[in-house]
Amino acid sequence: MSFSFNETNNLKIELLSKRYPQKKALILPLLWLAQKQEGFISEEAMVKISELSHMPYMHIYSVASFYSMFRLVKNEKKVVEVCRTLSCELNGSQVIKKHLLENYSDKYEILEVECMGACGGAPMCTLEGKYIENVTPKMLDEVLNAN
Amino acid sequence: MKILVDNTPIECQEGELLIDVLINNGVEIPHFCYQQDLGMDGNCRMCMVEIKGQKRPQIACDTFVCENLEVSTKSEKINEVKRSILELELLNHPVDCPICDQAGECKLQDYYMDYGLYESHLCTPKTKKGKHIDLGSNVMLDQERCVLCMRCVRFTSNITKTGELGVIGRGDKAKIAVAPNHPLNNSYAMNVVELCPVGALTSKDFRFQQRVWFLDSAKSICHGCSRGCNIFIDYNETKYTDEKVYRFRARRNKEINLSFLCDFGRLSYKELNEKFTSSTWHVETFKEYLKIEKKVALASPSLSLQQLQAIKEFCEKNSIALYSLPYVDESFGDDWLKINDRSANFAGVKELLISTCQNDFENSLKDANLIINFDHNLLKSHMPENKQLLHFSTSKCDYGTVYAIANFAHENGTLINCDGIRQEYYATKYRCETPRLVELLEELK
Repeated sequence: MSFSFNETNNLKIELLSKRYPQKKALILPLLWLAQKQEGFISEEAMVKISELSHMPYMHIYSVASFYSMFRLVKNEKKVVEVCRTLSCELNGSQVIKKHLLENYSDKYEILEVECMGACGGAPMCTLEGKYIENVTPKMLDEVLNAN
Repeated sequence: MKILVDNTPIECQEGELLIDVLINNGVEIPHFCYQQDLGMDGNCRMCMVEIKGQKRPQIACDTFVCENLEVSTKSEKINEVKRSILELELLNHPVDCPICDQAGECKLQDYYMDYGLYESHLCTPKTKKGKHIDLGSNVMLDQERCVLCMRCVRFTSNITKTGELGVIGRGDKAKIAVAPNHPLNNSYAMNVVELCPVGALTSKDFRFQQRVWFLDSAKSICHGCSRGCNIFIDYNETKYTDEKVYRFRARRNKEINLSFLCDFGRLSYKELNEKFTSSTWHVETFKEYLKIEKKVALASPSLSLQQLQAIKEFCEKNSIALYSLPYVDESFGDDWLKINDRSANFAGVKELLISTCQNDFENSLKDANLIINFDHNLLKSHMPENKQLLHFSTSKCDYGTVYAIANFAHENGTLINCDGIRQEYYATKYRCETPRLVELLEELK
């Protein structure tokens, strides 16, 4: 199985590579593109990025494993991320997390993450990357059951 | 009379000590102070057991058996007691097991393995990481021992530029690793073992073979090619066995190999341990050979200047035509330390003006009746027809008469490397069974 970026992403890569003086700088944006394209970052994708950024494969793997927001395995379930940083915590993220774990851990993968910059809407969580703000257990039931 | 130990009935006599009954019936009962022929003392408290009807655990060495005594040696409560006693014993213990002579037959070690306090008193649990991971190229990794100094990572990214090693994860989960399906694979890989300041990277070839404090080191030069990398020969001699070389380590030389060695050179120590039999030890036999007319000699280009000089004088005196041919291996060299010329001292051969012409050698070989081979590999496995062949050899020869001589681990000498750098190497401190070439030639004068 080989990996290649799709046409839109190839255009983006062309623009990106002009932006940086060093090929090495492409690693992070390319990892993002790969994750968006496939939902996770496969070994083949990292091999491709290693070629494009002129860096050893292990270096790409190191970077990808450093950041918790990169996923290196394909998720079987949809991902719900719950913020656990201060604003959400003060506004009851514990209740949200408990509700999710008790009722939805079979169908969804529930992850605790740090601040995602939506403190104005605390407590918040994401479903497949989409933000759900001022979240309540009732709201969760509506959104998650509709999916 | 019967008692019940861990729900198993055991037959015993009235008035026997409980600990004796347990020991004689093969029930595991940890104890330090009790000894069957010294009797009980009761100071170590290690032989605690639970006895039905008694409020507190009792020591088995101060309890006499009585009818229907119900004893438990294995309950969680008893294990907790033993754990606390061991913890107390170890409070002031130096934990120097690696250099302690009792290690392996120490009761404190044994019991700690059985009942020890494995969960640390830290309020956060220790992060567990991978143990004995095979990275490839003879290198084993223990991620828990690693201090993340990155020496190995910097070696593969800056020196070999192969980049197999890296750090994955972050914070206390950060660990050295190779990527899945991308093992360590370069001909200098084993340097990371030597670079590792702790026990995280170990060599499959050397680990568990010898404790390093039993090893002596001799300053020497690798004979694998004409680069002349500086090495330490690590060796020892234990009682009733011959000296054994355990490994080569790089010896820093800024002009030549820095602190590194190629894996081929590093593992070439094995040749020094090879045993082979000498066909004869008598100098007289050799003197008989010398009476043969038309002689030609071939000297190995890996011999030292001193040896070559002695050979040259010997050949001149006995009118023997002397040649030396280089060991060339086109597939060996690379753009760093490894060089296609696999002879350790070919520059030395040239300096001593020994003929290196292949054609001349082959022509004189045709006419010769006797060939004297001074450790050259060419003639060790190849027998020219209708000739007498005589070897002074450091390794096994398939044909001819063999005089075993000391290999370079047992010699002092000088080599000239491919860049014309003149370097000394020194013998290990043990006397070799086989004679040194220079001394042998001296005797033959």
